[in-house]
Amino acid sequence: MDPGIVLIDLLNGLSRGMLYFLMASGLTLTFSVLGVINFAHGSLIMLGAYFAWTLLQVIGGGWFFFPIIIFSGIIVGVIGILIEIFFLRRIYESEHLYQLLLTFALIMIIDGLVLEIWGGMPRSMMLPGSLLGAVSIGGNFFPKYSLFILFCSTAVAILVWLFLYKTKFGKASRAAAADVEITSALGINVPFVYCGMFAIGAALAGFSGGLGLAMSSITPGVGAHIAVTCFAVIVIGGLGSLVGTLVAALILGIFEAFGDHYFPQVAMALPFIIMAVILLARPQGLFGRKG
Amino acid sequence: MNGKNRWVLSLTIFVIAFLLICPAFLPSFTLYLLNEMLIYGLFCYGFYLLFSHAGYLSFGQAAYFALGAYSVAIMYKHVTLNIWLPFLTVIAVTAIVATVLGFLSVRLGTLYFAFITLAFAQMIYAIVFRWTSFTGGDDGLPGVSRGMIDVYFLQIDLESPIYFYYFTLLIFLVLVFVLRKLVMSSFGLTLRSIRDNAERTSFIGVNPQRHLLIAFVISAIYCAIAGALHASLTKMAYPELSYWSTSAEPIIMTLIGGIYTFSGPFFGAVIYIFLKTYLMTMIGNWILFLGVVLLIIVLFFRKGVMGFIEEKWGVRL
Repeated sequence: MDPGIVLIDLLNGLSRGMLYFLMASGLTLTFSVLGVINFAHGSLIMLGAYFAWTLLQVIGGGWFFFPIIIFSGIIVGVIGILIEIFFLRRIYESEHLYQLLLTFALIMIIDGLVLEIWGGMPRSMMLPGSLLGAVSIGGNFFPKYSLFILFCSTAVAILVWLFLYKTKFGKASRAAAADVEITSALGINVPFVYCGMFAIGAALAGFSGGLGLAMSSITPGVGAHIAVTCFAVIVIGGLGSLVGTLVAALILGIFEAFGDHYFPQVAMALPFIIMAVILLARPQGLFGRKG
Repeated sequence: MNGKNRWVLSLTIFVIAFLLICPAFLPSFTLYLLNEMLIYGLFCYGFYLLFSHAGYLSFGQAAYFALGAYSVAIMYKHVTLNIWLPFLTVIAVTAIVATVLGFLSVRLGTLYFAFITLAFAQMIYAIVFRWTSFTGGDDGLPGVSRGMIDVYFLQIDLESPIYFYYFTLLIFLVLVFVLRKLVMSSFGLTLRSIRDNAERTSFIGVNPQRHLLIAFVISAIYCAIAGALHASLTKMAYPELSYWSTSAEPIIMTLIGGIYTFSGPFFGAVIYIFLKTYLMTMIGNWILFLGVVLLIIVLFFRKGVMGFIEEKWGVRL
């Protein structure tokens, strides 16, 4: 094996892995704080991509590209606030089967709305010229956009980390994840924390959708497809563990990148194979707590 | 037997009698619909066993529905038209796949279970979609036969809609009767005690995972038989049968009917298919409509139709 090519594969894997982390992190955050698995997370990612596509059509690409994907993340975050206030808030007390069903209903509603607004045609984004093409790394070519994804998602991951551990809201949300009753007894507005955390999860989904789907075409079915990859990531990493999500996303990204190159016929099944192996060896996931 | 129970019994007999004699006077399209209702009813009962009795919500029962459809389609096409071997294949293939996937899924608790089942179903969808030489890929397998019954002196060609209807009805009645016995048995009681408290159930010496795995495999077989009948009825096996939107159908039907009533899954299927047939063209965006229906049920109408009637009239349906 040529070490230069291996380096390219590794970079490719890191870029994919960081994108998977960005996509799955919102799911982990909302689960660890609200205790709700949001089945519609993949649909929110898809929604972010559609918003980015529309904004690109209206405003045009170029240097606006980055602000546009951030802005589409914010729109999805606002939608997240509405979902939390109108639907999720009513069922925190219910059995969690109903929470699962409710977010499952959201998948259908979002898919239906996307079909209504954007139609079933595949859409592809116009990337700005500065992000097209490739850079040369040690004589081998690596796509600029993958480098851009790697850079952006690492930056966002660091921001999320700082937010959770350095800001008051982040600390409050971690406290609420640990014990709701004590947290609210300390005078922290828990419903506000819940709503904010869901909005952040949704915004991360929207941003990662705009960022990640820019390279491929966007269709109404893509949400379910991405959701499944996100589930694989959080199952491998362990439910509710952000470190686990990061490690699992990187493992998955790197395995896929090498798999695509060396064993293309099984690459599609790789997430499931890794997931099955982890489930057999360690059902709670790499960083999950037992029980 | 008190008056209300007798009333429920006579209602059951009336429904069965109606199902038995209706081919005599129903037009062929309505018969086809009724046939579809029976098939989806069976699909719902598969979902219902896991959800209502074991408390495990599966978002991936479509995987087994498709498995049944494709197994029977391939067997009819390449091996034999006599129903026995194809249906035995359906049961065997499903039992093997469900045992492996079920073993991986049931030990994780209800939360993990919900998305693992969805992930495995999407995996099966991807396999069906890509394995073109065997499954026909995106086009699916058109022209699936309805098979024939061939034992010694008896030969029945199931191509005829009426014979196929009776064939479906027979399977439906037998399987629903078996399920009724199953949920009333100690096995059913054990499942419900696992649903209510798995930890305590394991303290009294029951192995919850083994019971759940058995329930999972039975559920998968019900779904697969429904899928096999569906492929014969519509004469098609196609990848969307394993897609998540197909998994959503028995969930919504069962919820409409009432998740904690025995008749709920069937009546849910009847109501759903009736609505789908007559409203789909009017509404256009069916998936959006379904999403809103599911949302309303979850927020305001958790008992479902039969649960509502049960409560109003004070009977067990």
